[in-house]
Amino acid sequence: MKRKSKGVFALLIPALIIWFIFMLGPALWGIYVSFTNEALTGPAAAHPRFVGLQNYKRLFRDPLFYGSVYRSFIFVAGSAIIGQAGLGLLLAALTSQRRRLWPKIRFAGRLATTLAWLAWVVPETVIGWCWISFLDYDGVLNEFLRFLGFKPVYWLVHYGMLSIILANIWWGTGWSVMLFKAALESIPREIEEAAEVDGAAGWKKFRYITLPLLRGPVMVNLILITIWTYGVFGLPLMLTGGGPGHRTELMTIYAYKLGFKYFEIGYGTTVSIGILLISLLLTLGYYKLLGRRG
Amino acid sequence: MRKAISVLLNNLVLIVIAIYFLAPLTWLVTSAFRENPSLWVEFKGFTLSNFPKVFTGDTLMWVRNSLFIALVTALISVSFSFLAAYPFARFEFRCKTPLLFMLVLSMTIPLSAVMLPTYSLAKFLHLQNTLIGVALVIAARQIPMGIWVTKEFISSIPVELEEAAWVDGANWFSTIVRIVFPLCGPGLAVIGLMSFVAGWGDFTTNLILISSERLYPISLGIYKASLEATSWGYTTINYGVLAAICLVYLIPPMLAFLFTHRYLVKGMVLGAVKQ
Repeated sequence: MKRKSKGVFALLIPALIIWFIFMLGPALWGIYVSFTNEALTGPAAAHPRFVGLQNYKRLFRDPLFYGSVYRSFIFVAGSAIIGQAGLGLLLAALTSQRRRLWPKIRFAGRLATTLAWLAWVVPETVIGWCWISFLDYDGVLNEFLRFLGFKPVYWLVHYGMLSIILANIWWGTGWSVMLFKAALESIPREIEEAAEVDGAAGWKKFRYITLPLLRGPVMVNLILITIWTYGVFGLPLMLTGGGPGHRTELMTIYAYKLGFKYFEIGYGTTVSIGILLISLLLTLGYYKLLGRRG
Repeated sequence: MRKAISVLLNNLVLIVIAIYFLAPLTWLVTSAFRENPSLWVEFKGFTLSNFPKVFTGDTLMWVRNSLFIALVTALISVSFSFLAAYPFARFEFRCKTPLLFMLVLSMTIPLSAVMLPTYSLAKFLHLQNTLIGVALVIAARQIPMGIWVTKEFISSIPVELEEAAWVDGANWFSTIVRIVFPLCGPGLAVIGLMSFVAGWGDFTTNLILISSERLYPISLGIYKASLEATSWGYTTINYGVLAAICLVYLIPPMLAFLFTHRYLVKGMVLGAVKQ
C-alpha cells in the first residue's frame, strides 16, 4: 500500500521472542520434561534422565489422578456453570434498566452489581484471606449461624469443596454480570416491545423472548469461564491446600503438590500435560462453536 | 398490590446477593482499623496505626518487590506489544493470519497447567528466584492481548497521517515514534494498566519461581501468613497489619478497573457478545 521496508518486520521480533520462550515455551518444554525423571532436589534435579513412557504409564494407573479429574469437574460444574453463569445471569436480568421495576429497585441493584464487580478485581490472595476469615470457626458465617441458633461448622474441613466453590463464585461472578448486561442491552428494543404488545411480560417474556436471544453470549461465556475456572489454582490452594486428605485436590493442585511437595517435577509435569490437553479440547470446542455461528 | 410484592421480592433477592458479596469483606475491613485483632470480628479499639506499619520492615519490602514486578511487566508488555502491533496493523505478510491465530490460541493456556515446566525452564535459563524472571513470564502472557488491542487501535488511525510524513522525508521508524505512538496513547495506557495489575496481583508465577524471602512480593507474603494462620498452633502474625496490607494491595487494581472497565466492556465483552 505504501513505502514498504523489510526493516519494519524487525519490530515483531522482541514480542514474538518473549512470547515464544515464556508462553509457548513452557508448554513445549513440558512435553520434554514429562519424559524425564526430573526432581526438585538431588541428582535428578541437576541431571534429569530420559525415562520414556514411564510417567504416562503411571498416570493411567494413578487413582489420585482420576480423583483429581473428577474433583476439577465438580469444581467447574458448581463454580462456573451453576454459580458464576447462573448468579451472573440472575443479577444481570434483575438489574436490567429496561425493566419497569428498575426505578424502585435501583439502590439494591446498583449495590449488588457494584459489589460483584469489586470482588472480580480483588487479587486472589486477598480473596483467600477474606474467605479464610469468613469461614473460620469464629468467623462471620458461624457467628451468623450461632445467632440463628444453629451449631457452628468447621467449613474448610467438613465442607471443603463447597467452600472453595462458594469462594470462587464470589470471585468470578462480576465478569459474567458484565458480559450478560452488555448482551441484554444489545437486544433490540423493538423485539421486546413487540412481545409486550402480544401480552408477554415478566418471567414469560424473559423465558420465551430474552433467553433464546441470549443463547449466543451465554454459550460463549460458559466456555470462557469453564476454561478459566478449570485453571483456578491459587485460591483453593490457599483455602484448603487440597485437603483434608485429598478431598479438594483439583488437577492443578495435584500437579503442584507432586512437583513442590513430593519433588517429582517429571511426573508432576505429566499431570500438567493432562491439564493442558483438557483445556486445549475446551478451547477447540470454543472455536468450533464460534466458527459455526460466525 | 401485586406490583408492591414484586418490588419487595426483587429488592430482597438483590439485598441477599449484596450481602453475599459484602460479608466476606467484613473481617478484612474491620481488622485493618483495630489494634491487635484476632480472626473474629469485633468493632472496638479503632486505630489507624496499622497503615503506617505497612510501610516498614518486611511488608515494605513486599510492597517494593510487587511494585518492581508490576512496573517491569507493564514496561515490557506495552513497548513490545506496541512495536509488534504496527506491522500487524499496517502490512500484509504470509504468516500473519496463522501468527495471530497462534497468539489468540495461546491465551487459553492456563498458567496453572504449565507451572512445573515454567519452573524447570526458568531454572534452565537461570531466571529462577529472580524478579526479572517473574516479570518476563507475566509480561509474555500479556503480549497476545496487548498486540491484539494495539493492532485494532493502530488500524483505526488514518494512514494518510503517516503518508504525509513520508512525503516530508521521514523514514518509517521516526513516523512510528513521532506520529503513531502519541496517537496510540489511550490504547497503550489501557494495556499498561492491565499489565501492571497482572504483575501486581500475580500469585502463581511468584509461588513457583521465588524462593528467597527478601524477594517476596505482597501476594507471597500474605500467602505464607495464611499458611501459619490455618495451621494449628501459636502464630506470630499481626492481623491488624496483615488486613491493612490487604487493603493497600487492592487499591491499584480497583483504580485501574475504574479507568479501564469501559474499554474492557467495549473490547472483550462486546467482542464475545457479537461473535
